[in-house]
Amino acid sequence: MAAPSVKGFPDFQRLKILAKDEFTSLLDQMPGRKDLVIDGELMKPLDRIASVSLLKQRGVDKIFKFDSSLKSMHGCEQRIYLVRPRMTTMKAIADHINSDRNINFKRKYSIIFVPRKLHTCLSVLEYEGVMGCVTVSEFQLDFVPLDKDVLSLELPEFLKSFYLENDQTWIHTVAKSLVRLQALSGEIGHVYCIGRGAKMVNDLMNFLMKRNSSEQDFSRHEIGSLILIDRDVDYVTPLCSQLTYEGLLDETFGIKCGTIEFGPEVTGKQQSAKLLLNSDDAIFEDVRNRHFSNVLGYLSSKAKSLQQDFDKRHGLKSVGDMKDFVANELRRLKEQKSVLANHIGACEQILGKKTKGGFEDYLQTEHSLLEGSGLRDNVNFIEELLFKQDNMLKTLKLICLLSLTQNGISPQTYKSLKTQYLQSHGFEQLVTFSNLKSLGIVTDQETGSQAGTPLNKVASGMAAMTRRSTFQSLCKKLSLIPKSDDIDLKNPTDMSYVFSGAYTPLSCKLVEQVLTRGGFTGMEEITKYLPGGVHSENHVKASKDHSTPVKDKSGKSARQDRPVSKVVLVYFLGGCTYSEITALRFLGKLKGYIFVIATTAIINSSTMLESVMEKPPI
Amino acid sequence: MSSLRRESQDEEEYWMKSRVNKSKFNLFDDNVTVENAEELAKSKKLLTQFEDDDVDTVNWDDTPVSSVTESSAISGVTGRVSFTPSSLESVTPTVQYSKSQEKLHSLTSSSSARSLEDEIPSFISTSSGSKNLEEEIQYLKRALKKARELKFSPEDTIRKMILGEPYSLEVFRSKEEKLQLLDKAIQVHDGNAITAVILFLRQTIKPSLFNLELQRRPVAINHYLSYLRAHYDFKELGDVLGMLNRTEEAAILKYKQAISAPDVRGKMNALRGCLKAHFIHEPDLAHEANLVEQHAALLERQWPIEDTDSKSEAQGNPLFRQFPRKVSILNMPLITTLYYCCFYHGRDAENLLTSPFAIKKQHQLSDKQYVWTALSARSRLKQWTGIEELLTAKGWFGSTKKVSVIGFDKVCEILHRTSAPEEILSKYLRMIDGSERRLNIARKYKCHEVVVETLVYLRDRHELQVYASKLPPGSLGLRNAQDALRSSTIKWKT
Repeated sequence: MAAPSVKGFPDFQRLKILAKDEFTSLLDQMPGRKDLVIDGELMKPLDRIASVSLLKQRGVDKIFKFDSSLKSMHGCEQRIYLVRPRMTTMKAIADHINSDRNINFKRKYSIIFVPRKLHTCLSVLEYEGVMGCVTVSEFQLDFVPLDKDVLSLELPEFLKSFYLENDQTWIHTVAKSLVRLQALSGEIGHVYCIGRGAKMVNDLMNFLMKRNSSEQDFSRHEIGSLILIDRDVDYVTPLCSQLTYEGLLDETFGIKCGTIEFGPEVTGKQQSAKLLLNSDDAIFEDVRNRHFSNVLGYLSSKAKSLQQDFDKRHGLKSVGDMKDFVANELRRLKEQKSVLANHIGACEQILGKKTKGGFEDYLQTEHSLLEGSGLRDNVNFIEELLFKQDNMLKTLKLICLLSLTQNGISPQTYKSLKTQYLQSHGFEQLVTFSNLKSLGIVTDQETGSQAGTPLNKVASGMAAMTRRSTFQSLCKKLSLIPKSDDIDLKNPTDMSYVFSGAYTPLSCKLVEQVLTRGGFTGMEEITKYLPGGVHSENHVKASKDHSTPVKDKSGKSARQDRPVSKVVLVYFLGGCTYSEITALRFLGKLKGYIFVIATTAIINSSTMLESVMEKPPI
Repeated sequence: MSSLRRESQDEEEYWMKSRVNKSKFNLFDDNVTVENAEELAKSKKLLTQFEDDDVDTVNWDDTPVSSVTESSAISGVTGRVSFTPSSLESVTPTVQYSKSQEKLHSLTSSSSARSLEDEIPSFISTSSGSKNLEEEIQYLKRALKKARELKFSPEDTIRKMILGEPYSLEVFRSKEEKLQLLDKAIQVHDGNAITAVILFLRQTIKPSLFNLELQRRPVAINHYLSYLRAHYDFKELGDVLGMLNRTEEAAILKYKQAISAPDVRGKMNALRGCLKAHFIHEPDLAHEANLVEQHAALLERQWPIEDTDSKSEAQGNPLFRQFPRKVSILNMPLITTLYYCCFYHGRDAENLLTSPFAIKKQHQLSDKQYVWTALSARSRLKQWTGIEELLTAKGWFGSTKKVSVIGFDKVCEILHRTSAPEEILSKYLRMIDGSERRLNIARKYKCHEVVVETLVYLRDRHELQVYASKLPPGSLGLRNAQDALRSSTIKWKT
């Protein structure tokens, strides 16, 4: 684990160590025995940073999960709250403190905000009259390294907060994470921004960094380029059904902060199993990026060879061999066997679920929506799902794709689908539709031109002329829909394999284009369709030129040949899917880049939609 | 930076001294003026909270500074935005006094506990050390100079906010400066700073001005709305949305509030009220108004049904004993309610609330929606004649014929899903148009008779032979197939 870097990847263990040290010193600020109350959503990220034994060692007596419904809490005379900065949380903490005061219980309180204290939170504490008796500090935990090439802020609320409510509070956290990362890995020379939030992050990052451009030798820095990309540039990709193994694991079981929990139906035992999913698990590393059709066969062949290794024990000649086998081989084999059994069990579950739910028809509809063909059939299929009261998320995904690929839904169809959706899944979903409209994910073509999707805003005029939707234009210009039907899913040659060769993720294609062109030059025909615009900055300049960042109009990047510039940090604002990570890994192998993926959170179609949906009343 | 730090340490020492001075006052004496107490509290707070260098330049009270700088400086000390000097001034002195007392109390009792301990040594040293008057005068001169020189620029303040350093917004008294703050915060895209400045503005300028300036800055509006949402300040949120003419959002907000009512009766009333106030008069929201109306109507239907049926179930109605109700029908979606009524009340007259047909009519459900649901319910109940009725249309001149708005393939899908017997399934399979399609669907549901028939119809002897070879011996399908294969009247395809 402590290896300095794996095959050119910057070492992100350092981030973990830094975070751990910071957290430890925060705990030490309250010497002696204390209770730790943790925000539920911080449990898993903290788990990746610090162990329970470390907490105990630092005087933590009991660990509680923060529950905002509790009016008071018991525990020892010192307490630390480790929380996200939210006003409701502050109110609940104030309630705890005031209830202690009412019974004259003396306790010391400390609130540690992750990653940052907010003015509104402090106001609540002040308003509730508890400001005087709490100490307030910050734990700047931003990136949680999930793997050697994946960094996540574990901040899924970014999507709703920034794109739905247009609240820029979390932009600071994103910018800060980059500043802190560059403090370790060196400044990043080339920055490319795709979208509105991307530009904001870049601005704030520059504001925080005070770059001193001239003196630097960028070739020694670990990361060559940074591509920031807004989720609202491409809502289509996360809504497509994932077909890679890791993507399917996430969609079926939910991967949380790099860990997965398999229930008894997968393990085949009484108890469930928790697995850390990363490149340290050799079997998982072998299959994670594969198309699902190509996983089970591999796993079973692996099982066979494992069995052969096991059988070796019968052929052992001497006691020494036997001893050696038991000491070294057996343990490894047993571990592998259990891991393998879990993965095979998971595959079976995935297969079972997919064959039962009419997945093939669904997938076909999804693909023809992406192609923009058979509109009437697609609408009929959606209606049928509504008649059946089939899974509400699944149905909504198709409605979203219908709208996104067509620049909104025609007024009549929009009204009819919305009405039927509400009738089948509860009128409360009116709120969901309102949110999706604000996000530009499901719109009415009538209003589309005014309020409209982010994509539409840019291209409404053009769409009227060409009658081709923005998405379709992008598909054509970037050839996102491969022409040939037969793609070798086993030995892919194209990123589209992650979606069975039906579609190349737009976000990843944009990354590819930016890197091969060294900027946005010559991409005007494409960038005009992207909401929020694009921006690029080149800080790698001749040493004499000590001017502040100059916009890279020419788009030429002389340093492409340097090894460092092959390390590319792709930062998704608003989250990315495992399929996108997989596609970029593939692109990296194909073109010789080393991609590091940073994201505000790892999402899938369900978590993305759920975050903006109204909950059913029951 | 290090020099600053040193300087601030010096100044901290000074503070120890000045506190010595202050301790001459009896804090709880009525003679202490309100201002003194207030400032004392503030400076104590300052001591415990900040070791910043800017703040101390201004936080000093019993010193001969002109009153103007003093007042602005003092407010700067608090470092707290929500502290409003103006409002405090207007309060009667007694109240104010008790306030400061309380503040002081809490400060000394808890938060400053540590710092007091820490500071005791220096306290002693400075007090035991000679009262070097010269030194103090030097310091005061320096501080005064600094206070005059130091201009709090909006840029600096925003930078401090972004870097998480202590800052103060109270020094900005003019509207222009406050707006500069806001614009700077917007320019650097820090939501926290934007929100902080907005709340400061809201407290210090009158609402009409506040609203005006806010409306000129869409980014500020969004942050204000986001704050109000997170603060559950729905009244103000609704007002602002109304002011901005964002009627749809305002209406949806009210709807959201209405549906969060805990009991069904309250929810019905709230929905009706919200519909009247926010939806029906908005031409742009005609479609949404219809949906909210439907929501209210649905609850008004579910309420009495649940009431009657739960009683009837308790009394041991055989229908509910045969098919126990799993959950209450309250708050269920419309289609679920329709299914429920088809299931338990399929034959109820149209003038009753439970009538499926009345539901269809009131909610203008399409024939497809209705047939799909009714068919599923009747199939589950094994009401085969009921299904026949559902799929029978009166033709001209009183004749009848079988029609299905959802297509007979879907009819078969539902029947198969609800495990209808083969005889029934076959009957409807035969109604599927297109022999190839019929053949495929029949194969899918393993309806051998229909498969054989269709193959015969298609005169595909080869396929029939293949199919027959897979059929279980003695089955009706096999017998039919063998009959057909033996028959001499069929002209097989060649």
